[in-house]
Amino acid sequence: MKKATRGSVLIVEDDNFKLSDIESFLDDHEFNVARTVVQSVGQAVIAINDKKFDLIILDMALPSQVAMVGGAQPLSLPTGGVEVLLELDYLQRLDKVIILTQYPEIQYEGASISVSKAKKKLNSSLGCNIISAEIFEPARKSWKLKVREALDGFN
Amino acid sequence: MSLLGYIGNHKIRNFVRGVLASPNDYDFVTGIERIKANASMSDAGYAFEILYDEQPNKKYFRLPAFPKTLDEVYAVHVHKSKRLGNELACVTANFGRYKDEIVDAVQVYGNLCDAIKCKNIDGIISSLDTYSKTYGISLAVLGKLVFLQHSTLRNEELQFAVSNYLKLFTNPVRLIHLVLAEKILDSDHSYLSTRREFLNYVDAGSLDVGANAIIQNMCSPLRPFSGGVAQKIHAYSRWGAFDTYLFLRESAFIAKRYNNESTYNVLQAAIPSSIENAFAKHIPEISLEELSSCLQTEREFLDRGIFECSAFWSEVPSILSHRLDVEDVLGARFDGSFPSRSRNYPRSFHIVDSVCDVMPTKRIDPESAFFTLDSCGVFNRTISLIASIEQNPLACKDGAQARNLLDCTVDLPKFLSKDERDSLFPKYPNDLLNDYLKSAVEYDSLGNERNYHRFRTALQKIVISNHDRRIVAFLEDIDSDVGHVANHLAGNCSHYFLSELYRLLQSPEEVIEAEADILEWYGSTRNDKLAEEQAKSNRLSLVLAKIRGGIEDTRVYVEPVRFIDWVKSNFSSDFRSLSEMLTIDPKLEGVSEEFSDPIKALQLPILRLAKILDECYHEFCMNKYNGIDSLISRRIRHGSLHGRLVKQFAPLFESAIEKAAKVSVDLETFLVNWLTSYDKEVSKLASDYFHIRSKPDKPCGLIVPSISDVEKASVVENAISTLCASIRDKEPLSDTSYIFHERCWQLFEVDLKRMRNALDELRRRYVIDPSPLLVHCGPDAKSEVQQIIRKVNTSLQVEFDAVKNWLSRPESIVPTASIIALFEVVLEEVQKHHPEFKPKTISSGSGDVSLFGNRFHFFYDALYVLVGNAAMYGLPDGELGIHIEAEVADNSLEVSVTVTSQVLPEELADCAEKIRSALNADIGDAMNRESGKGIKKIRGLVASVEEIVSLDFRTSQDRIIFSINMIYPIQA
Repeated sequence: MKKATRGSVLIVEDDNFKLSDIESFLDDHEFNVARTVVQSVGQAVIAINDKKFDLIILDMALPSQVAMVGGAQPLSLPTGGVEVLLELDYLQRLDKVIILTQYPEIQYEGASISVSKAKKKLNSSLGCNIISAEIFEPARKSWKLKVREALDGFN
Repeated sequence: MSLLGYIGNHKIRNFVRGVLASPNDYDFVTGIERIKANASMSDAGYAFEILYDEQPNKKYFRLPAFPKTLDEVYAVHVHKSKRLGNELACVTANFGRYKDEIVDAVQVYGNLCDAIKCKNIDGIISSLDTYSKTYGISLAVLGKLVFLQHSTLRNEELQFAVSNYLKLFTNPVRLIHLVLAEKILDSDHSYLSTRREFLNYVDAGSLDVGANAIIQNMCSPLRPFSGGVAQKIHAYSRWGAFDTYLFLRESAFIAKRYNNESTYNVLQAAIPSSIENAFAKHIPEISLEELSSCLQTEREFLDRGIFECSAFWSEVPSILSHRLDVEDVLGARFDGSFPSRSRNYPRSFHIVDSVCDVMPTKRIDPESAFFTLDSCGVFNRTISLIASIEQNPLACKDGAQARNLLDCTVDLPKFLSKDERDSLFPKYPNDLLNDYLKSAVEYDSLGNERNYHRFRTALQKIVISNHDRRIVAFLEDIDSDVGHVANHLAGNCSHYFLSELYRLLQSPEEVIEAEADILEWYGSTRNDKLAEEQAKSNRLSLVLAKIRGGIEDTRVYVEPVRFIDWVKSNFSSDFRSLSEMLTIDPKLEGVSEEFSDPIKALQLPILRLAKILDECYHEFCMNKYNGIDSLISRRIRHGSLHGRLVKQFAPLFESAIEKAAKVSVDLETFLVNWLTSYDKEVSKLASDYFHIRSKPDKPCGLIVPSISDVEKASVVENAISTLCASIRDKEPLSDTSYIFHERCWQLFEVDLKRMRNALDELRRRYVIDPSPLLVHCGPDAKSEVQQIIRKVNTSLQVEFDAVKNWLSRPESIVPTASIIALFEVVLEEVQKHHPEFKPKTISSGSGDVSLFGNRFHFFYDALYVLVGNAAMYGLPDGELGIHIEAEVADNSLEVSVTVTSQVLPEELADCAEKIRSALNADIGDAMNRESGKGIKKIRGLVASVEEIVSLDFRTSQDRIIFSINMIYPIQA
């Protein structure tokens, strides 16, 4: 019998390789969560305004909107994920966030913050609830551990 | 008794003897400093009299009476000077000797001021001529020269005289005081930023030590200066007796105004009465109204213009007094600090009790009312508001009042402290306009990402809730006669800003449409043709996207239209001023290094140009959204590089390992290790090398976002030479900006080459040499192993070549469309309005001709008219033909596009008559307003667009035939 959905996860990711790794991990562990996948900052902002999430897995480098065939080009935002954090701060929301990026640093207020320090700095500056900031590598275990911890109780 | 005997203190006598016998410059200067620091005023007076008389060859002490060149000024050694009395003793030694000459100089200078006041051009030229020939150079005259350059008093002869005189201040480099004066009076530069920039140089000790005091005095006369008035007087004394005298007078005026009686008395006593009498006789009184009549400043900002130029009219008491009135209230705020109370109650500015009282009751007209709040200008009104806030906190009662207040004041966010902002703009629940304005004020004041987000959010809320999701509707609502609030929003609505209004504009197309709408609104309400043209370019980019019909896959690409617009909007005023300064044969050697000295870059035009090129290249590489780094980051580093060189390669490699396991264990082990190492190195390429070089983050980065890069030296020199010619020849702004874009690409080629070399190097390292692996293979296995290795090596080559192709300039970097493709899009657009129009299209001739550049929307417009006419008057199912002819002639491409449409034979004559009548009618303002439609519009294009040269019309049987003829220059 199918388990009832108990949690909700927002995955903000535009890289298909990375997305498939994240989804496979969630599938493998049979987390009992509803998944919302978005590929741009714009979609993510709308999604978080729409509802609260138990976990947001957030990429940093994102396009502003989604590119369509025969359409105009969106902006490439190396730290577009920060907008999602700013929006959560504005909404005074404490949805758990795991930053999952392929870059060793995050640009904020014109300075580079190393991923290892991003959680502390962004949480104190923006009052959001980043539970971990991780460099994504498919084989790396740390991000998987953090996701598993965050979704503990939903499987 | 010799003068030495009059010196009471024996120590001072010894210092004087020491100076007289000093064997070297160091001992000499130290001796002078000791006298200045330790002597009584009376002893100092005797000491300097002795030194003046007995040390005629000591250039380091002897102050020039009237320096003729900058070298004479620079030759005077600057020493520490803290004791006002002793500094005065030093300079008055000069006054005593040159009293008569100073009196004469005052008269000539007075004549100059009077001639400016009376707008007597001949008088100005003759006074300048006399002063320069007799007295050489002076800071006071320099101020007048720059003032004249920026005044309404413009005639060729005068400008020639001014430019010639100014040359004395530019050799060997432009005097920093001149650079500051020009920036202060150039309306393209923000006064506030210029003031802060130069005060930062003073604080950082970046300027010549002798310039510090004077630069500070020009910017912020009341700001405390280390060394005080004595050090300032010493700085002016290098400029000769006349400038020293004027500064003493100014200082005495300030001392008296702020009740510093002792200083006033000392200063006043130092000025010989004969010079004072000459001053009273010859220096005219000039009113603020008279001064304002010479200003080029926009009428609305006339009051601010008066203040900005007041630094160059300090000898006129009423103007100095006005300057100090403003400084009393705004001085510290200009310099970035927020006193709780003005240091002095402002004399001229009205104090009010409520925000309501600050508002104008009539049309703002600073020309007729400087201080009366019913109609005075926005600058003086701002001062009244701030002076009032210092007496009593004021508060806006709602968003509408906040809008009115921001409309009739200027730079408030920069002038108010956080507490003052909070109390002036309180929160009002459900007042979305108030929320928007409050967030805009905070963002303007502090910047930062959080305030930027709040500002965007507040804007989206009000536009979505109250204005049907249309920013233009909001702009129309907040616009007014003055229009500051609306201009602020329109100015913020860049493509980047709009792209981040995620809730309001949910697709890139909506962003482009909104940007075009705003530009159109701004163009039509502010009569700004450039904005209207940009709106068309934006809309065209949507058409182009349709033509391309795919998702842009170019990896390395800097959007040319936006980059060129950025160059235009940031440097147009620099190009204007550089056009007068750049010489025909500038010294280019070393520019790519020397420009990084900010002061040198201000003083030497060629270095200033190099600095602009550097800033452009930095923008080209680093723009947060569109720069090379951002694109490489997302399109190459972000997964793609590893994906292409490792992931895509993996299946082939795994099969190679599998095969290898069967023939040779050595080979299998080798390949497994090889793959691990190769994977690591490719990852390193992405993580360490394909980056902007920066210390300490990315020291191995291969992209140097600066012209300060040894490998770029020759490209830089070449670029600067071309840019120098373009600016000096006053080529159109678009052409010069385009050259910047082109040259940035050439600079980037150097970085790209480094990246391609890194790829080559990596590939070379991982090409597998089969020989060691074949040693232990049996004869059968040998050929198998060789085959496996060959396959791996070949695939490696293919993948690396593909990645190398990413690292090259795209062939077409400007908007491009073939004429046929444009024709198809136009037809599709026309059919939306005329669904019954389904012609049989026939194309012939050179269909592959493409148009480049952001101006081809003009051709698009013309084509739209012709196809639109065919839809309106032609047979709905008739033939619609397009024929293109292109021919290269000299340095141009001549293109003729003929559009043929079919009409009913019996209607041909009538149609032709209508067309001929339209072709002969007055075209009036066809290009200026929406009224320009149909044939009239195309004729307007022919008249105003350089490349569209003619429109021909004829008929044949049942056909209406139009030809548009264009000539495009071929870029070398």
